[in-house]
Amino acid sequence: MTPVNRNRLIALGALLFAGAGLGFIAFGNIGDNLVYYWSPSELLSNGDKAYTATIRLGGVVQPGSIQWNEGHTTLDFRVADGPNADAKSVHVRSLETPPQMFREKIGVVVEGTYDKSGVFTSNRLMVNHSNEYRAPKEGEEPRKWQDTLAEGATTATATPPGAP
Amino acid sequence: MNKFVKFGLPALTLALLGAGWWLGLAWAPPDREMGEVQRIMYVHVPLQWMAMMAMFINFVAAVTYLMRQSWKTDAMAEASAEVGLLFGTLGMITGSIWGRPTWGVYWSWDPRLTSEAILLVSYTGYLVLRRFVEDPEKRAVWSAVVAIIGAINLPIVWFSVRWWRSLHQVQSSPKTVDPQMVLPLRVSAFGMLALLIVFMVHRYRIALAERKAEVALPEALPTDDPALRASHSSKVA
Amino acid sequence: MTSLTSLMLLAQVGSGRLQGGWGYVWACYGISVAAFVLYSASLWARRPRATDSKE
Repeated sequence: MTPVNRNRLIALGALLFAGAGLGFIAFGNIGDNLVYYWSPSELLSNGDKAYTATIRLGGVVQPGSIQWNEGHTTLDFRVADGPNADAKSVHVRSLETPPQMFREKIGVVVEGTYDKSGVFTSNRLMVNHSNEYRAPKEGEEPRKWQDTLAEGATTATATPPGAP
Repeated sequence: MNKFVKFGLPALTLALLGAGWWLGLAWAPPDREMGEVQRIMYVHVPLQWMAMMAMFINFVAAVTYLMRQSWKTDAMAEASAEVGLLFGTLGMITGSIWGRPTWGVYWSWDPRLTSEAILLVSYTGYLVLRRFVEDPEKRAVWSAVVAIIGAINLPIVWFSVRWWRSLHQVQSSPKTVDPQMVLPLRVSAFGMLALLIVFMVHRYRIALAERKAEVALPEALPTDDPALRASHSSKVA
Repeated sequence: MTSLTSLMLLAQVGSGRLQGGWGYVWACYGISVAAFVLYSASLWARRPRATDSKE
């Protein structure tokens, strides 16, 4: 066999191997075994399996469920399957300040443990951003009061320490 | 190397990247939620696109080399892998920095980040393999095989956000991005493309010169130079 | 001072908007530009010599 033909055979073999590998990953059920996070309903239906190890839970922050205790820096909220009020949800408690992107209805992934009392204790709170990028709309500011509050806080940082 | 490649292309690169980044950093509005941090998009996204493109060129060059032996395609494969690795690594670093304020973490083993890490490791391995094999022909064949198999990472990285649940969001499109942000992204992407070409051209010339020096011994290996090939065949005849 | 920081945290939690963060932006652009400059220098240092004297 000439080197050229040998190389072509090698190319064919490598391409077939790569194609098979890709097909296996794309169409095999590898995704079922490689789950980055569980949804609240999956967590609830998994029962005892969910109590053991450190797991990730992902979903949407249920509107109206955020409770922030500044004194103890404890953050309580519910992670739901979807933004609807009747979606299944899990109570999450986090002991750290969440990322600034954190708000109602935003996607989050929390890492931690779920105990039998039905509380998910999070060690790590991650905020999931959507693929939308928009300029701030003029006139339409749904969270205006919070913005002004935040702006007040930013101005306060600019003043020297000790100032009110 | 003609004048355009030597002077025009670098100038075009500077102009496009400068314009794109100026538009992105000063002209474009901040994002409604991410604020100023969203401006990282104009460097992170072009870097990742061009890394993918360089690695795809690497795949094409590897297949072409095996189909028809030539030091040019081997040199092209070497150049694209190195430049792709540079862009990919920078893409990962900028993405990680972007992740800190938005996600809250620099890193998480989500499918996109994990597959990207595997991608970078496999192209690092490719370049290491090239370093370790002394014989130019063996090196070219073996590394071409690694390149072809390593290229399956490209669709995996691209589709990882669609196939599996991930922290990383799915691809944006002009529908999900405001026009004032699409323009700086486009200009920056073309600037990055020009930079990719500049780097590739120079890296390719280095690789080709190295190959030619390696195979300088007469009749050692096939050559791309038609004059040499002619003299060789006449000798045989 | 503690009350001020906690007030700021209170203002931040749940607002869903990133404030500031230019440092991250400059870090990304700075690292990229620095890497490009270094890589260009490495290409220049490795440039083919003598063999390509025609150009």
